[in-house]
Amino acid sequence: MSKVDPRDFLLNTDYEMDKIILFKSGTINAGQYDVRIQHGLSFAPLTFGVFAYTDDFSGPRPMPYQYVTPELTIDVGLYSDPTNLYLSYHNSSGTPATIYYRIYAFEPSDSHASITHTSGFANNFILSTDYNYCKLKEKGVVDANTSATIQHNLGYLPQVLVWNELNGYTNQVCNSMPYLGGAPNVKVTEQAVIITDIPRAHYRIYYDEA
Amino acid sequence: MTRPSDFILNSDYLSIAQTGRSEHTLTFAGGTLQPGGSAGDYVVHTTDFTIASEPGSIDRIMISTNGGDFYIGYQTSFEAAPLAYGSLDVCRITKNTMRATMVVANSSDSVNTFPSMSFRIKITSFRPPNIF
Repeated sequence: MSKVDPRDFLLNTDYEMDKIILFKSGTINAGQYDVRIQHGLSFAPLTFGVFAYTDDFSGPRPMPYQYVTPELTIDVGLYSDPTNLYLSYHNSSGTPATIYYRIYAFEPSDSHASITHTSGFANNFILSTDYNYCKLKEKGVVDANTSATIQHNLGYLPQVLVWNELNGYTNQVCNSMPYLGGAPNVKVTEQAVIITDIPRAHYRIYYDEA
Repeated sequence: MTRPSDFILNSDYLSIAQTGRSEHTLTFAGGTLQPGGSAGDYVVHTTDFTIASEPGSIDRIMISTNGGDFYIGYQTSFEAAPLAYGSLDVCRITKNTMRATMVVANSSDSVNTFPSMSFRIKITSFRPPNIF
């Protein structure tokens, strides 16, 4: 039997597809540093999200997000624990005073909980073969307090997502700072994912190319 | 309720759909930095490039500096020259425009120079679920 290449498929029931198990949206004001939203799950969800300066989300940026220059600092925080989502927004310029956010989440690989369906939010197709849905190759949790290497051996650069769990709080690794000592970073090669300075790293590696 | 971890696919849960992939190469000119702690000890350069998306787009970004390895994230750090460190930030500013911002700062007590910097940026974009 010939081997299939998952990249040739928009959907493929041989490979797991991401399922969003949580969705939250709203606004947050500059200077709010500890906004808590109970999520109702029994675990710390693997969150990801976007924020924007306008409610049409025409210029979305990732959450969490940090932009630091000598002239301007913008810091939008997002992390979770088994009870809450935590949001914060700091802008050294003071404007815009309010940002809009949308937060999504996956279930960690070490959780197998019963979770309320999220499809009820939908006003259109849940799935559409007009688009590609990423096919998960593997997911897991690894101790990368110094460094950890996960061999994927795909021969190309796959899409990779990583979350940093520290002292019970989890946030997505949205930036890699290899020249900042002690800062989490994630390197991707054609054979491996190398995670550094993350005590407990949740990862997802996809067959789909970056 | 069900356990989503029991399913390969399950349309009871939302998913995000990939709308595109692209790669961009950006080059920033080198420069001269004044001694650290004095005026002119850092530079900020920006460049915009076009990449179509939908409102609320979720982007997965990887960045390679000067032909080196790719790192995940919208932001990376690098050593532009001995004692001159920098960062590159890549984010959407409008629906179809991304902005790359490079900051290089001098940690030396002397005037420092750094060469031109080249970055390869891989971007995979996803449309938000049909809930808006």
